[in-house]
Amino acid sequence: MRLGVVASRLAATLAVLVAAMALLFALTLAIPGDPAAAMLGPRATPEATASITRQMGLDQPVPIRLWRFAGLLATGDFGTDIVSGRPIRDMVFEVLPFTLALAGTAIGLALALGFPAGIHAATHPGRISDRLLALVSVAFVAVPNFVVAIGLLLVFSLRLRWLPVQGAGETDDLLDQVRHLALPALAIGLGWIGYIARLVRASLLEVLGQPYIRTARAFGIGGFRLTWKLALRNAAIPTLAALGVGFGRLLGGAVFAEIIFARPGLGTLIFQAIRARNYPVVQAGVFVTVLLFVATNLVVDALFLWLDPRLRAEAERL
Amino acid sequence: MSALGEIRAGASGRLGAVLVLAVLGYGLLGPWLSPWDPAGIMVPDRFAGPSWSHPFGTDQLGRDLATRGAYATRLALGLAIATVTVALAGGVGLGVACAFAPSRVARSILIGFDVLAAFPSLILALAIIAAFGPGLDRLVPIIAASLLPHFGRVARAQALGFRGSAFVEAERALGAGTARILFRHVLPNMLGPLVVLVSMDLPVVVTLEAGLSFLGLGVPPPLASLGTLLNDGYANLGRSPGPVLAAGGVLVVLTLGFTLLGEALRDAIDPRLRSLP
Repeated sequence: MRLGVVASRLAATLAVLVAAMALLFALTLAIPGDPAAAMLGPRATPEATASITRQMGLDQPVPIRLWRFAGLLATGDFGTDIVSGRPIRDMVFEVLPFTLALAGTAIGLALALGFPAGIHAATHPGRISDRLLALVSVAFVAVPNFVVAIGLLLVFSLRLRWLPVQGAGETDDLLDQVRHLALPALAIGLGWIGYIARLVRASLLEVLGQPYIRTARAFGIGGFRLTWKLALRNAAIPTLAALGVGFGRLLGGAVFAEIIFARPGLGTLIFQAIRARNYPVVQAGVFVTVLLFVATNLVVDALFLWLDPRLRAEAERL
Repeated sequence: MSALGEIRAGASGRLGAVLVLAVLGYGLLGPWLSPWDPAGIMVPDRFAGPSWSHPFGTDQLGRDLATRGAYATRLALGLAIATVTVALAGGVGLGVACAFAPSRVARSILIGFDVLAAFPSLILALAIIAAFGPGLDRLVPIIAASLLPHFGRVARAQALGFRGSAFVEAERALGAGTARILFRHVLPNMLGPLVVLVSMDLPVVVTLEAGLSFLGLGVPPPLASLGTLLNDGYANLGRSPGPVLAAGGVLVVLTLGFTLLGEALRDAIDPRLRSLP
């Protein structure tokens, strides 16, 4: 019956994508006034407005527009950008790697720092370092990532001048790119460091209290490597779950980090398109972000079923 | 031990309560105590550092940051309460309906929750604001919609638990109608977990609102939001870090205070909710 579980997850994913598409389309109908005129702003002449209206297909009846829109999104061809004349797909795929690199680095940082911190806290419960970590990790989760981003920018780029202020770095210079990636990734990863540390601490404390571990320790087995192995095995699933659910928040954080550090990326693309009232580009950017998000959720769900046999049994019973 | 006593016993809950009280006092009393007009421009005094007359300094137009921050805090708190109230009402309504409705209706409500929860909320907000432009009348429903599934699921789970319970069965046997059971028994018993959710979601709303306002897509001018103040400071970061530190500092105290207090409240009222991210 595993196929049934997979099928229902796929159906839910599809439902989200269809809902996203419907919403994005409905919004074009709801734009107050004439979208073409809104895009042109004060430069709008009747001829230019009419031309853009025709180019965007806004003179067609609504069902035909919906059909075309669905077709565009389904084929991954987002049409042509009226402003630059370039295919919107190229604009999106050009910046996508930057956003993926940023999100990936943030998660990597969070794992690399959150796991040791959580293990330390669990193996030294009640110590000052544990209690401090508890407070700091809540602070990391609570403080808005754009405040963190601006703070990092202020301290490390403007005051200390250790790291660059903006951009993504030279395309052929890996070290330069890493230097440009460091602060934005830390800004959006910081909340996750705290979150993962807390998850690891809680799941590790739970196992460390089990009788078999105490017995093993009494016989002198265990120590550092055992703790790490236990932490990895027991915290992997909740961490994975948190990352799956939180990926949307991570992408939201990426929007701020990209804008604050003036990095190219999906967030910057969407933001600039909103500013320019270039709605087709907004639609494409938002749709790809939603796609990325539901795809991650699907992968996490699949990993989940594969990692945890108990869950697999439960899913099959449903 | 009572819930309040437990919060007072924990260090982080105590810190949270102090921060929340400080921020409430600042937002409620600040505009009233301050001698300055939040929009009063005094260009010669721009980028002034902290002083007795300007405790947080001034911004790029010489406006008093402590006063602007107080008005912005008041706005942030008001918006957060309004938004969470809308989400709470909608979520509890749909969640309880889901528990008591026939299974076909219940399933479609649940699918609706899933779809809504599957949207990255900030990106969704960006798409909607791109179409309609910024404004308070869309900010509240957009953010409320993103929180609604959370409330809905908890309300449903709670109501489901009560539906089969002995005291509800007894009420029914005594001839009570569904409405009476709902309002007299189910809703009052759901209060604890919902209070926890409300307190945990307040800082989330404050963050989303400030974030959208930082991008210029949230609270429209001339209202000043903490996000607007932060953006003003960010634009002038090269000239003075003061405005960013003032606006960022208020935001940090606000979100950290409510989060710490919310977590202490959760541990005191309903430790089972601890598993919720």
